[in-house]
Amino acid sequence: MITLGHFLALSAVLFAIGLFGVLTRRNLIAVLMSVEILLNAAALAFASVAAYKDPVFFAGQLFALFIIVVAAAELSIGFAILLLVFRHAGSVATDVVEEMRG
Amino acid sequence: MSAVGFAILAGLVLAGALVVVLSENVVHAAVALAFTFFFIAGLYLMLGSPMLAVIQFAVNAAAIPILTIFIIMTTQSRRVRPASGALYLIAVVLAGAFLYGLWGLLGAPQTAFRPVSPEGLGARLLSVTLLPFEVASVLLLLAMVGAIVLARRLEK
Amino acid sequence: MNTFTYAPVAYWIPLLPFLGFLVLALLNPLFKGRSGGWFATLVMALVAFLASGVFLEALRAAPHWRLVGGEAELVRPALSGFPFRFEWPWLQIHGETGISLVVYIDQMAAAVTAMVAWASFFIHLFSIGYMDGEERYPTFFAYLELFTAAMLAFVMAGNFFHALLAWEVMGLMSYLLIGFFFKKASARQAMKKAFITTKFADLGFMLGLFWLYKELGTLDLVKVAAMAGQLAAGVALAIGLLLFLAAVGKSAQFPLHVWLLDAMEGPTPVSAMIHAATMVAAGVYLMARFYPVLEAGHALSYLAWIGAITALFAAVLGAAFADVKKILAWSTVSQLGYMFLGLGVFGWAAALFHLLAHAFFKALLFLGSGSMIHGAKTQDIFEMNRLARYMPITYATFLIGAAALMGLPPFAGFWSKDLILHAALAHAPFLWLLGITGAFFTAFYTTRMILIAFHHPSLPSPWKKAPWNRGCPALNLGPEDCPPDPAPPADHRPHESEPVMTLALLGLAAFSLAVGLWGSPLFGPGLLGFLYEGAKPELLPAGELLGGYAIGTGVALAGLLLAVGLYLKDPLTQRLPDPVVAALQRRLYIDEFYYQVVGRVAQWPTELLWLFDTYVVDLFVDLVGYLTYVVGQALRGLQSGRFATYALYLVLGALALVLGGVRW
Repeated sequence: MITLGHFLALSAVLFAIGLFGVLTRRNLIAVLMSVEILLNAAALAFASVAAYKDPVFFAGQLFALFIIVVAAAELSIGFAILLLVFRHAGSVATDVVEEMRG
Repeated sequence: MSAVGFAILAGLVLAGALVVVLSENVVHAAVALAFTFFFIAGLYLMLGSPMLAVIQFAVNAAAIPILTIFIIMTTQSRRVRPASGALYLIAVVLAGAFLYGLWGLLGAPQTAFRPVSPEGLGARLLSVTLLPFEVASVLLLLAMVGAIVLARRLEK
Repeated sequence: MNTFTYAPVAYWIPLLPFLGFLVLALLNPLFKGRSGGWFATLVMALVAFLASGVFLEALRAAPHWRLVGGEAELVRPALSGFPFRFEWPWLQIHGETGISLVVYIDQMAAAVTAMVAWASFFIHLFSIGYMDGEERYPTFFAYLELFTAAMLAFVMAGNFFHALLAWEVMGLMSYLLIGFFFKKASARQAMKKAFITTKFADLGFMLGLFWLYKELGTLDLVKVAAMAGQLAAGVALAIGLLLFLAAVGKSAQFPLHVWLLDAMEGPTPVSAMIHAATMVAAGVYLMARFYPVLEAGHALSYLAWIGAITALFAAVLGAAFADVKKILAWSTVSQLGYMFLGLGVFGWAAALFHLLAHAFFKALLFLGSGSMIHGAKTQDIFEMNRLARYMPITYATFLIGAAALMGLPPFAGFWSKDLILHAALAHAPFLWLLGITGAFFTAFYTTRMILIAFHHPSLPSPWKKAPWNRGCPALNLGPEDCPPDPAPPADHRPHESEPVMTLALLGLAAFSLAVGLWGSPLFGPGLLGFLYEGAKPELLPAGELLGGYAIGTGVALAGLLLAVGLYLKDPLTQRLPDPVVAALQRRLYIDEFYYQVVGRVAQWPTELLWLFDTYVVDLFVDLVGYLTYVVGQALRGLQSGRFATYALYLVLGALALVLGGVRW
């Protein structure tokens, strides 16, 4: 039987992978992609809890929906800022912009 | 619910995520992202929520990767330089610590679940969560306008 | 209805000048021309009006004779609400009484308050004209107002802590006003000298109060007076002497007289106000308030001795100077000595009477000297050119003041000083001898001053260039820093001062006459009966005192005649050899002793403390600063400006939340 625990474990591992990506990646686009993974892992967790434990209101699934919406909005703004950084610094590597040092 | 199906989907999801975070080619990562999200949509189907699955597919598995590839092409980004070994180690440690932190919560031996019909989801969406729904649409509008304002080229 | 109806306005009396100070200080640039002076004087007029009201109300409690069954009896009418007491709780400490500011008006306070208010008013009036043309004109009046506020607060204090606060403010204003002409090196030295000397004496005040509070648990005037008997004799003596130290400093008695002479560096109205009429009298007033403690500790004889010695010593030195202000300063020191003598020989009410009389006639004399200086453009009596002819009003009022000072009947000093001497004769004949000799010299130096300044033409001052007068040895200044004042042209014709100034002189003359007469036996119990509870030696009818009065007048006349004999024909007469004159003009070398010996001795503990301050205290302070800098620099490293670092911080934070919140 696939229990809720399995889904949550999957979600946790996915989240950990996303964390790893945020910390490790040297390209801003790749970082944003890792953030997407984080968000989706969370949405998956919410949805699975709702399915298993909330048969009446399935609020978690509604919440997962909102996560998707907000993630999309955030990503578009993130890419817009990324374009600005690209125009300013000429590259999207994470270490080219360090003018706010100190 | 099929254990095998779950295992396959889960494996594919994780494999795709690993490609996203480890690939040296950013285009490969973008494609893998689409791949991953596609199979997460599959998982949503397994959970009995077709509505959510479709939305996940349409937004996350299609629109977002396309947007990402647009940005990749605009910024002419190809390779992702690998990070230093030390950083990998730190990242693994932290991710591991995170998993450790969450592990205790993963007990719950629930088995039964009920599929959710799209109509049901829709009805709930527009009644119980009406305000968040409206706010979300405003948010999307803001994001659209904001993205345009931020990224436009100013006349010199 | 016999009630003290002026009660509610009482605390406005010190408050109004304080508000005046604030206005003059904060709106300083707005006061053009003489407006600052007129504003301050108007405020003082209002204060004098209120103070008079309080005083006249209090008078209704004054005793008078009444025939009861064929015999004259002293009756004291009751006045409800008098003595008046108003308490404002200031610092409260959980349940305990803490410290309050208390306004307390009894007979003594009412009389002295009225004196301070009127004297201050006349001096303000005089200053409108005298200080005209001065750059910091409004500032001067601001300082005068604040000083007056402090003095009034001191006199009306019902709580010794309140008195201490006011005392210190007075000391500060004295410092600021002595150093008003701070561009002169001598003024700067003088202001420091005054402040440090009185501050040293204030140590006694504070220690005395601490001890008193420890013994009795209260600093309230009335309660201390009631409980004074509970103190052990030794303790009361020690506390009394500590407080007497404060009085010695403030009232410039020997050996702390040194600062008053150099306080003459300040403007003449300041000399009149602070160093003649009011602040220096504060020491006497303090002793009067502490009388029960002093009696309990048998400390009064010390007061009498110091007072008598100072009275004689200062009177002798007054005869050896040429600067009119310095002569008057010695005169003040001497007369204050008489007040302490009076306190010490059970002449409590006589001392206060002398305080009131002296305030008016000494202020009159000082303002008169200010008028003389203003007209003759010099402070040296030899350089003054027949002032009697050119400045008649100044001359006439000066004569009245001088007669009061010398103790000639029917002027004020006659009634008050001889009363003190009478009490001295009864209790301490040797001190009486010192006092009567001092009276001789008082008459001598006063007559000498008047003859040379008012009657003789301008002469070059004999001692200005003398070798012992180079620089200002009493201020530790050499000739470069303290040059002699330039003499005015020999044919300079002085002119009488403007009406604002002469009016003030006339007002003070009137008051000194009035006070003198009211305190005399001619007006029944009068002032003395008002001040004093019960019957004491000084309330004796005139007949008993006649002998004493006769001797006193005789001695004064002898001094006067000697001066006339010596100086009428030849003002430059010098009967004493140069070394003696030198010693007298160098003030018996006491000031220099203080600077050289005491100053040097105090130097090495000071050096030690300086080392401590620089290497220990500053070390800690700098360490704090340095640590802050170091920590700041370290924290700077956290802001690498790089994205990856901040992402790391984010993750760490989230991790902390998860691990902390979920796991534990």
